[in-house]
Amino acid sequence: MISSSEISLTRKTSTGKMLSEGAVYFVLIASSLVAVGVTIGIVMSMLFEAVQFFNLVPIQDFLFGLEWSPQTAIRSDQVGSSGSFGAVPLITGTLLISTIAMLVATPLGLASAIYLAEYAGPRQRNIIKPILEILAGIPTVVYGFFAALVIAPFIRTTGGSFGLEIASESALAAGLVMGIMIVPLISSLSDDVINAVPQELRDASFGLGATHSETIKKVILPAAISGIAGSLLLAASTAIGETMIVVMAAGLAANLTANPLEAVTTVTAQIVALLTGDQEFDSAKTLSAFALGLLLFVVTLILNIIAQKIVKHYREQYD
Amino acid sequence: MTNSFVMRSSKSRKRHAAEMRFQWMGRIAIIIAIGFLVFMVGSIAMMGAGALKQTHIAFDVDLSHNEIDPAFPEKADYDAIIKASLRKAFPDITDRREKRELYRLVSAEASFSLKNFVVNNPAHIGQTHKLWFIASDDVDLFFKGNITIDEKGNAGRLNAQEVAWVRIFERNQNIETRFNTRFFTAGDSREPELAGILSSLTGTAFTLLITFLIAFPIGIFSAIFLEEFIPQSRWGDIIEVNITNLAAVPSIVFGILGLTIFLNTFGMPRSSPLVGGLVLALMTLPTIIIASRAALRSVSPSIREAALGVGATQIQTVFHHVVPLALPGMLTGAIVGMARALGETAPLLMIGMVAFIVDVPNSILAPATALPVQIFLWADSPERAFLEKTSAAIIVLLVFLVLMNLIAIILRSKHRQRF
Amino acid sequence: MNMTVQIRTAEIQDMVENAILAPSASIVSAKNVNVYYAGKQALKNISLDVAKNRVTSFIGPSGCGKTTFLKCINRMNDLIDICRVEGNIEVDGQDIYSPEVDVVALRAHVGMVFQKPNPFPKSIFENVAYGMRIHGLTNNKSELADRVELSLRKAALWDEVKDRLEQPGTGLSGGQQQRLCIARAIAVEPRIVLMDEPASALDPIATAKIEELIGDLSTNYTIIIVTHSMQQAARVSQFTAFFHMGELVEYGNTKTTFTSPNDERTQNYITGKIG
Repeated sequence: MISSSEISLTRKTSTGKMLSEGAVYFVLIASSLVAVGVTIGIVMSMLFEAVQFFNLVPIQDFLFGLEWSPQTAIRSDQVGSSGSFGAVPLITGTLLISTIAMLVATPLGLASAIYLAEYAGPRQRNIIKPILEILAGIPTVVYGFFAALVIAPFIRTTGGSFGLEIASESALAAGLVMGIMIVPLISSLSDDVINAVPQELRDASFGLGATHSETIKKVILPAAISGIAGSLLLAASTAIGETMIVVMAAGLAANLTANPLEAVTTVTAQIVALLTGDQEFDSAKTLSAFALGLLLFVVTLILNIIAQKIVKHYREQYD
Repeated sequence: MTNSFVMRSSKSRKRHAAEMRFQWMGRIAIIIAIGFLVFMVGSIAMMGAGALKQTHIAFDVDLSHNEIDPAFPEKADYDAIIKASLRKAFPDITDRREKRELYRLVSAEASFSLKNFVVNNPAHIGQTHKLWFIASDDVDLFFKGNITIDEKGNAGRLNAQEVAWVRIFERNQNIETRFNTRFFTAGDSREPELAGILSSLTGTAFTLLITFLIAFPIGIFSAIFLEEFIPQSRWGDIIEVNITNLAAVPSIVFGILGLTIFLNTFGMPRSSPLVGGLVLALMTLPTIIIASRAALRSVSPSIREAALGVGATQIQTVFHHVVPLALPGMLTGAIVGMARALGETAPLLMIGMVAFIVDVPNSILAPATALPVQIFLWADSPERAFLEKTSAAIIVLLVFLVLMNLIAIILRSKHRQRF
Repeated sequence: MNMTVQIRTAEIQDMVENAILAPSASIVSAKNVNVYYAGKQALKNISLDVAKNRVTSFIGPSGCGKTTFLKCINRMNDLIDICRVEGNIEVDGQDIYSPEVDVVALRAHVGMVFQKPNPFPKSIFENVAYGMRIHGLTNNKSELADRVELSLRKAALWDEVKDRLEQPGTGLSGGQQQRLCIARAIAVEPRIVLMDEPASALDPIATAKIEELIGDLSTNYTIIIVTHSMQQAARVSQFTAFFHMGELVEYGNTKTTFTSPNDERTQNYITGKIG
């Protein structure tokens, strides 16, 4: 009996234990491949339908067409059964709303980040930062509700009192609210970026008699510019992919316009509109949603990759 | 030259003014952002507070033997009884249009609740009772003061005549507001005064349960593998890049994935919490993996060395010593991810969890909706009375979000204390 | 051990004897300065006068307060929230902690060079021009260029960089970067230049160049240098102050301080027993 309890330096593990360790390994590897599987799944889920769509509608008509009215006929003998699938109005609508959002969020987010990183004491920081983060934690459906119910009518009546005619589902209302939503994204990323600027550069500038704001404007921001650009790109990608705010506050009118007071629609709003009703997976109307989804995925992916590259490079610069 | 630094020249005054302006720009930006938050949450809370109360009206109901057969009380025409009782309360109304308007004061639900009352209290048959019923949404809005009387004497959809009737109920103290339990115990309804959040809340609970059961184990297993078994390897890098990119994919794209893969390819039941939970799990996965890796990284390497030093295998080391220490951090990450999933709407629209669901779902395969989707549906509805329901549902959603984040904060601070 | 000490002291003696010791007016005058970091006292009752257009070195073991005191002279300590300064420091006869003082202008008057070379991530030209731009010293482009050149010449860097003024200052070698920082500091024409261990991050050749430069600059500027190296103090300064645990233990001309210190602690430090 003594021999069995002896410790041996050679491998004498029981087969059962080895099997169970092997099983654990298998589970671990399988789990970590899920993320890769999801990415492949995303691409596949849209690619097949998108290819089918491009068989019905040429890709150049989709990317460069100026008219979007995805109506297909219920009966095949109906007039105008083809519908038009030019995505340009959706792309410009998305860009218009995202631009408004960025115009709101960039100054607010950057100014907040600068204040938090450079002026606020630790106490102020510990209070303000979590409160700003709440903005990012509030579900987008809440922003959408607020934009449609409070902001849009407010803009409409304010504009009306100046004699401006503003659509009740204006790009402005959706963009403004979306802008507030992405403020914490910009502020917390830029805050990190500004904090990464070495203290020596601040000292050098102060030592020369620069005021704090001169130091920030002429030394810190130029030194942090690439990191800030990265955070802005990430915020823009979020704005482009945002769905609920535009579904609820921007509407479905595919207008090709740069006027923020008019109604526009976006890629995401159209995907929701096309895929929430009855779907026919052989009609161009339903299939077009997948082409839009693929477009959205590719554009946001590219923005993210660029942003992450920039930020990573920035971090290494000051490590 | 001497003492040049004392004289405050106009140039130096300008520079100091610019400094102050710059600081104030930061403060104002923060004030705007936080002010918006307060304004938004505050105005939604104010709009939603009214939904906690529901107007009820009372009138005498004649439960005569003529109308109700005591042997089969459930077979009586309670709708007719309600109408007859209302006519009795206002005997001078003869016009058919006016009668219809009178009936409109009471919710369509009144006949069901009367039937329940009679079936449960058969002894009352043959008597006349003053009974309370839920008022219609228009009466509710008017009585709670949500709408005011316009120059024509109308209050919203109530005309001047109906307003006068409500005044009569008021004078006889036959109208009052009560706590709106129905809002928390009923499913959705076309009638705002009857609509509740229980069905969507249950749907959300089922959905998040699935999300947690799938995303948490997969998330921590893959974090363990990436952090403990293949750190700084090429495969690890590929998976890591993959995860960071996945974290930034728009949520609606996950909805499309759910639609084509889970519904169309695997044929899973449409509108079910199972599919909703799966989709949200995939969406939450990157958050959990990133947080779990950070939690693992925060475990001191000396613990690993100690375990390996006494002859534990790597798997034993990780699962017996490292993971228990990292678990609170991992849970925190999971809760933060779940909180995000709780408010997610767009992907659920894609997989059909946007249906009109009256019944409380009883399984993960039953058609269901989720609280944020319910908010979306109500926000879209033209009935004015849904406005306060929507706001109240938002407040409920935000309360759950705050609770989840509080749990995360408490977990995190406890975790921090231990190390 | 004893041998080394003897050789060292002898070496120091030789160096000190070569130093120019002439009486001159004081430009900085500190009286009863106490500094606290979050309530903990870092400097105790420091009183000292610094001679104009001379090099004064502050020496002492790590954490003795020499850098803290240096930073009091251009109020860089203001940037540390937990730091509180008591007492009186006059520069050119003006109490610099009085409310009417413009800190920004004070720092232009009392420049600073830091331990680690810290050029801005800008071109060499822009690094030197930075101070002149923020203080609005010149609006004229060619005048700006002239003054950048002059500053770079004074910092003995001109010949090395004149062909690449548009290249980033961060691309220079460590010693060149530090001379660039000196050029940047003197470009705004300060009367006093504070140097916080300016050569500690540099190799011996670069250090020698900096020390030579300090000697050249002292004809026009008052220089206060904090250093770890007693040899350096002896080589570059005419006056030396020895700090120990927040106290000013000894202050006098460099030669006396190194050859016949009054205080036992100074003796111990220069012979290597403490530090």
